[in-house]
Amino acid sequence: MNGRHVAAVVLLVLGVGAGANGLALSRLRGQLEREHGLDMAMTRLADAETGLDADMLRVSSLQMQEYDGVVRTTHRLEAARRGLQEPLRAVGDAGLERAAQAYGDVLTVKMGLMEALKSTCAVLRNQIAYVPFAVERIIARDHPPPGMARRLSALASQMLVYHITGAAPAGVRLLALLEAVQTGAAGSEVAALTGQVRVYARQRAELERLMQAYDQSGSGPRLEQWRRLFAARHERTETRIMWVGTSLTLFCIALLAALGASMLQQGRARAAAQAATRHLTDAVETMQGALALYDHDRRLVLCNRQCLTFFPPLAGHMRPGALFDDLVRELDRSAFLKEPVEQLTALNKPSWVQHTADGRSYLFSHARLADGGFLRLATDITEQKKAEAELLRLFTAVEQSPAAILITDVSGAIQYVNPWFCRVSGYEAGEVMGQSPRILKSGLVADAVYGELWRTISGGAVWTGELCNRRKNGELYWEAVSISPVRNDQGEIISYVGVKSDITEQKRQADRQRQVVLELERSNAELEQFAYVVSHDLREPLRMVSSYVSLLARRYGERLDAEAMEFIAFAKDGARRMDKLILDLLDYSRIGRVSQPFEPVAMDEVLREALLNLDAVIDLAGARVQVEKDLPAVMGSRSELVRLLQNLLGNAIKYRAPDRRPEIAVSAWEADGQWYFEVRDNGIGIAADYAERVFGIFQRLHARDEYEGTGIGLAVCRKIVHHHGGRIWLETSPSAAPGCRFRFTLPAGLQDVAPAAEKV
Amino acid sequence: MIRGYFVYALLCGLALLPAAGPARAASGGEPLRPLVAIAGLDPGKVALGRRLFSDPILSADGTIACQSCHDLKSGGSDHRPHSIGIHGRQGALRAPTVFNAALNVAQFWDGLAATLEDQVAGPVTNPVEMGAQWPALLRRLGRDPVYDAAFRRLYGHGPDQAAVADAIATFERSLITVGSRFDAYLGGDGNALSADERKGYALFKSYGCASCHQGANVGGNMYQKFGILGDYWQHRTRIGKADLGRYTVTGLERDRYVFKVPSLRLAVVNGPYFHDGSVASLEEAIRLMGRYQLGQTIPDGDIHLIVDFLGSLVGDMSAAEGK
Repeated sequence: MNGRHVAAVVLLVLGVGAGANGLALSRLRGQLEREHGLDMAMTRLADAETGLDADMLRVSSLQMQEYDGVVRTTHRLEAARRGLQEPLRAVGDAGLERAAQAYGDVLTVKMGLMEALKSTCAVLRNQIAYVPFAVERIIARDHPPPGMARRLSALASQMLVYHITGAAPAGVRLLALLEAVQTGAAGSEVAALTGQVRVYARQRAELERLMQAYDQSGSGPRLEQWRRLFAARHERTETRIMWVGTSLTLFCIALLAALGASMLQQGRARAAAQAATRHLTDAVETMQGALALYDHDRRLVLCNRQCLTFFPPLAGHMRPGALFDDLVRELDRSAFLKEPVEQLTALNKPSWVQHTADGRSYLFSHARLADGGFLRLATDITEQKKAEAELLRLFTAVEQSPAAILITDVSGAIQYVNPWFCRVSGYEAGEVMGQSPRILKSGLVADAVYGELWRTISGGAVWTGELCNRRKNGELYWEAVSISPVRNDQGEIISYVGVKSDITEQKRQADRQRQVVLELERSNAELEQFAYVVSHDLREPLRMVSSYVSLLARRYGERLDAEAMEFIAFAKDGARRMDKLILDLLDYSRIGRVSQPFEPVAMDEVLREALLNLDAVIDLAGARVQVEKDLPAVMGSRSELVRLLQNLLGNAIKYRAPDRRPEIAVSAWEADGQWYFEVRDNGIGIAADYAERVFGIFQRLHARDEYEGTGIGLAVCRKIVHHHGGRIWLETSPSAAPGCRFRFTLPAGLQDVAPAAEKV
Repeated sequence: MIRGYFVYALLCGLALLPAAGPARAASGGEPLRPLVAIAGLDPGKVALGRRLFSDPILSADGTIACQSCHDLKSGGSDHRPHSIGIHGRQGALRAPTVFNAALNVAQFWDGLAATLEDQVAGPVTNPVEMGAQWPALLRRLGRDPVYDAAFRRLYGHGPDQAAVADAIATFERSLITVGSRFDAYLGGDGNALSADERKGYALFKSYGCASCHQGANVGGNMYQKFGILGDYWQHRTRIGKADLGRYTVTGLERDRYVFKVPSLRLAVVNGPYFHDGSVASLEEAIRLMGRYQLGQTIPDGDIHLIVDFLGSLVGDMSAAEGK
């Protein structure tokens, strides 16, 4: 709580105090006024009562000929009585009301007495007029005896006297006199007169009673009582007014003092506020955007010059106090904006973009202020909008590009990939973000290539090349890659952009074409070779040699000595081997050349057939062939696979160790999606150095006389395995057991596998 | 000395005595006074009151207006012994005239209403007269655009009981029958009355009629017992509540058979007579009044002269029509 708050609280308290006192005072003043009103009403009533009293005196002294004046007094009194009700209610004092009621009751009685007095006095007046007249008439007409006449005259005179003096006993004396008159003279006139006088006496007595009752009605004390009550109340009210007035004065003095102090403080505050306003204005003017501040009446409080720069139609209108809606209307009239101005008048959007007819764009922001006003800020975003549009076009191009695009930061972390990248690589964009492109490595590209790649791009140059990568699903694919470094204004490399096109298909196509070409070439070469051999009648001369050597031996055998016969035998053997060689070669060349579709082949049966073919050899060698496990079925060419196993088993028997019985084990297992086959023997084995050479055609490791053979068997094996998409090798890992282990693989599964192109 | 004082007092008393002789000339000190129109009435309220006065909207079934019993075209009364209210119901009293009623000390025969305003409520809600209820009546008036506008203009609010009463009372205050020949006579025009009328007036005073029928309204400004000098009631076969007079209001024994003295201003046009309308002819009424109020038998000749005189009291009744 700072000083300002304290001052505000003090002012508030004093203000509330003064206000409460003021209210109380005004209420009391109102009450005082009402009491005055009541007092006046009561005075009017008392005045009317006084009038009634005066009238009563006049009436009862029989001085009144007519009562119109009394009626007016009565009406006045009645009106005053009624006029008392409203002020009484307004003051609302039960004691006063009771007192007024008591007084009013007395007045009612008095008015009733007044009416009775009127009636009585009217009769009396009539008698006073009539009796002397009647007496006069009786005397004049009836001529009564002198004594009687004198008495009658005295009667009339005495009535006048009684009337004037109002002496009560006179009535009695008058009646006594009347008795005397009556007895003296009979006659209707006198009897009538007697009646009149009797009535007069009665009425006279009634008048006395009424006047007495009127006098004793006691309205005076009641009025006095009322006045006493009223005075006490009035005094109380005035006392309270004095106190409240004093209190109010004190509050006002304190309030004035506090206000004075507060105004001093406010003066300082105002200076500070003006400085703040100056600063604010400066700040507002230096803003890039157009700013306008409106108060809660939607009137302009403040705006900067940019407003007019941005919105020329508003020149001359944007003055403080200008109505927001007028400004909007002005803009609308000028057709300056492209969109309808409704956007401008909506006060619920925090920001929106407005375009002008001349192609500029402004970002409008709207902020509600605490005091009910609002702030409008317009920023020129034309350039950004253009750049954005440009960027959007580029981005669209990148996004829709049929080339995979990848952007990394300088450390190689992926920052962006386009949809095509995802399509090619099989990765979701989210999966690769922040990763290194290394995840794509297939392992088939030499590290040197990557090294050169990095050297090139980090040196600021563009690297172009082909990479074999691996998809998420493990599939390999080839890409033509172009990686460019991206530099910022300072020339620093900030990211790398890689544009890659999938060339797997092209590659495969090219490979296939190349293979076809190679195969054709080789086939052609072989064919040429064979064609040559065959065309030179390789076998024909051989057969001629063989035939003639045989003929020679048959026809001249008895003539030739033993040595000659031995020579002939050598020749025949040579021819025979030559023939065998040629047949083997024909076999070899036939592999893969005559491609029939692969079919599911059970390797058990293949093995059985191979063993059957080798039956004699096995028996001769006493070999034992053991199948460690049931062999699987594979896709392939049955005859070729039979030849494969037959060759491997034949080799195992052929190169058996002389000192031990041949033991051959055939086994198979599945791994990495292919079948591994092994043919293990306990023969003489093959030195690791020759592991490759053994598969070469016409390669022999041993003298022919040691082990017979053309040196083509394993070459045939390799060709068959390759033809089936597998590989074959001599397992050279050290092993305690003697002999050698030939292993080959065949693709697992019985899918439709096309025969693999032969690789050399 | 004492004797001298007595003679002086006697002389003074004689001088003060009014109408001491049977035929005094019209001059100052008359018991009757000329009528004067009441000044300061709001013409708008008078007009509104006139409209209300003649509008049966005030009665429960819309059949009876004030005017129905107080016909302003024939003396402000209905000339029936007992007035007829809604559904043909009959009241117990003779409807008094509304002309000059403002001058009465109070309203109704028994003075029940101290003011004209109080009086208005009586017939309106009396079940045998107009039989209305104020809330419904005010609603009817409020629904009428003319009335509603008039009340708002004159009273600053829609119709309420006080405003309705005020309007009608104001109108009634305008009903003063000024301009009678007798008033001209009182004003000094000795030829305004014929000789008979002058004689009648003298008799009126000397018989003592003017003791009670006095003032500008020739009555109405006081109460009097019916039967001062003779028992009027001993010949009546049936005495109803309406015959008890002011007693029904005050409950005081002295008020038994006390009635408001009726005005004789329009007596010649407003028969039948007395509170119950029991007497059809004015002559008979005068005769009965002489006998029971004055203790005299007034000769027929005098009665005719008095009737002649009463004829000169009738003034202008056209104020009722707003002209």
